[in-house]
Amino acid sequence: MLKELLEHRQTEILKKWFDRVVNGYKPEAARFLTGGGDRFANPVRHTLLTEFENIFSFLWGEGGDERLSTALENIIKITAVQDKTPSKALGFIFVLRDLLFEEVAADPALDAGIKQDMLVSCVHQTDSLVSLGFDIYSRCREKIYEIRIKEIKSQRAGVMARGVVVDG
Amino acid sequence: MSEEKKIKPNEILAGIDYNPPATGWMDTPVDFKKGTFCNSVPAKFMEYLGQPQPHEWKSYQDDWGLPDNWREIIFEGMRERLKKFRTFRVFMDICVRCGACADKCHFFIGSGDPKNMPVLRAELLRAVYKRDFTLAGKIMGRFVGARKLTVQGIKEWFYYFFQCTECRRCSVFCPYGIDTAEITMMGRELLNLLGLNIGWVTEPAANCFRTGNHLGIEPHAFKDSIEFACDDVFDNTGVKVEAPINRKGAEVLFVSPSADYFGTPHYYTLMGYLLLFHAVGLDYTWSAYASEGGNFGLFHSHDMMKRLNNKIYHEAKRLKVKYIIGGECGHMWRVLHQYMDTMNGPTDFLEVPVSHVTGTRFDHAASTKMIHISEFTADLIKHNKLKLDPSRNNHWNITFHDSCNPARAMGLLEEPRYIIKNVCNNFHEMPENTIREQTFCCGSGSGLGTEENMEMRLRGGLPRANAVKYVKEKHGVNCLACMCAIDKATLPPLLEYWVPGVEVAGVHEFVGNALNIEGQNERTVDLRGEPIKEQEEKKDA
Ligand code: SF4
Ligand code: SF4
Repeated sequence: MLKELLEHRQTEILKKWFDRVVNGYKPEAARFLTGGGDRFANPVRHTLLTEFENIFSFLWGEGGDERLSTALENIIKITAVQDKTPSKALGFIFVLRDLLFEEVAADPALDAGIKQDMLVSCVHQTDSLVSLGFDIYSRCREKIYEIRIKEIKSQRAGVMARGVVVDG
Repeated sequence: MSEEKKIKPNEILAGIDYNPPATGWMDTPVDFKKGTFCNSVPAKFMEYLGQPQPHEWKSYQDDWGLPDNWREIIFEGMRERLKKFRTFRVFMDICVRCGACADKCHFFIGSGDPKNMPVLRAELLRAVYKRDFTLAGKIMGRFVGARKLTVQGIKEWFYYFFQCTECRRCSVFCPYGIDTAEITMMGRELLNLLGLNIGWVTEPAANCFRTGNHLGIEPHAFKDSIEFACDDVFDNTGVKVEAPINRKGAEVLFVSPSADYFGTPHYYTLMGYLLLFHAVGLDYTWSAYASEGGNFGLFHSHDMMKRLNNKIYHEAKRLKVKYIIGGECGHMWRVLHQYMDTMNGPTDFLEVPVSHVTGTRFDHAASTKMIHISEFTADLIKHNKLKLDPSRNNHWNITFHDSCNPARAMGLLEEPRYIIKNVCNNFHEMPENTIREQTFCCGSGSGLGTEENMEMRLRGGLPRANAVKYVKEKHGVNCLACMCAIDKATLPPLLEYWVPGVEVAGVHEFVGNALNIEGQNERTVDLRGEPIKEQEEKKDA
């Protein structure tokens, strides 16, 4: 039932999700992200729009963890290098959770008991996103350090292999 | 805290700041967060180059050790440069704030930081110019965008002028042709006057001044490196190549970026050059002193650029060559194309380049007497002078990254593509708005390719990597070709983060692989020493 309710409201929820996340950026960036430009001129906008839709449909649909992970990863790879604390980098998931709560709470046709169950279900679903997200975030950060170390090593190795003495 | 201003617990948890600082750019202070800036320059390199105000300082500390009269020094520096460089004055005056450049910078696209919009980056200088060099600014102040220069402002200059790769993408979209890269160059020059620069620009410049190349490699080690490459060419192809160094009276002086002889994957490009020159019997020489095509002086100041560039013509003269060929370097070509002739010319001791194989006269280089290796090679292919077997590159599925300087500063768009299409069988372009004049920067040029700046590099490189990802998914691309030493060093980490599984290679690596040369062995391995068939199977799988 929750699935139907959310699917029915999918377009509105996705729009709100995107708008709220984008408004977390500085005003000039928010304008850019809501503005035009194709997926190459405006890659962050494109990634958020595409992957929000994917996450939404994988969350209750087919897909499974692997596709969900890929969708999350495509977003978190970006937020992990955008000057954000871990909680901010994953903030978009909490925005979704709030939105789902709002949707359920606002439906006048549901009785209190059903609403309660639905809210619990929303918590479970978004919790699983959060735990997947934290793993991905840590992997991204580890990758950055790994790349940095590799770069230092390869610079040294290239120079030493050719017997070059470098002295400033 | 008043009731309305309290942040709701939900918002804290959500990590979303629904109300980002409403302060305008002038009042938002710069935050030096590790991972997003390059280390400051140690005094010894400034001293070596005879630069003003050498001192030890760290950009993330409060006190930058500025001299008491820092403001006068900057104003005097601005006055001098406004007089000397017409473009600087014009660029300060004519921006109409139309915003066409605003969303064209890869750093803004990747980071969302407004001061990475080219118009605001330039405004950091322009606001000071307005206040102290124009009447309107003196009278009306902030109202016309004028701003008093403070120590905070200097820190902002440092942060954002070393967060511009001088790639010039923004200038392509500006209706007035304002070149923010030139404004960045001015900003960096002014910072130099206070002893402020980054290590990764000044140290290579100092090394280059001492030994002729950025790494400080001395002539004997340079010779060893080139000979080492000749041995590797022999091991992989069975062809014995010669690489003359400092040979007087050769027809051509060949200058390549130093990374070609110590970096990977640059080294395979070097092997490609060696094979090509051998195949066409080019009468040429390397120089152990002009052992660097790159010029980190470009990222430092006009004077430094001139000083470091000078050695190329100097060596051409000393070695009595007729003309110069330059290797796969990026910013070398900006220096060459836009400044070299006026800085260190005229080159009346050289001749207009003429290919000894095809007889083609490169008239566009009539003044500089220096051509790009891709012009030389494309001309050879056009005249059918090379025996090629492109199938030896079948393990590569290639796309081409136009490096900012050869593409935008020099217009070298067709030659590399023409070469690749003739020496490889699998080539796919990235989308139109990410290549040629509109190419996206690697995010690490102009001295910003340091490991400590990795986060900023990854942000700035996102638009480039995003287009690579697209062709990887669509066409199975597994190799990003380019013609720039900085690209070859900085694209691999970029791709490792954003698009794992795509390698980086120089154009002449493919040329070397495809060339059929008399006396060669079975050619079962490529220039990387990898078995070709096995690699091909791996790719197809
Ligand atoms: S030159 Fe390149 S890096 Fe600098 S502001 Fe323009 S687009 Fe950005
Ligand atoms: S495009 Fe040119 S005129 Fe327009 S805001 Fe940018 S620099 Fe100024």
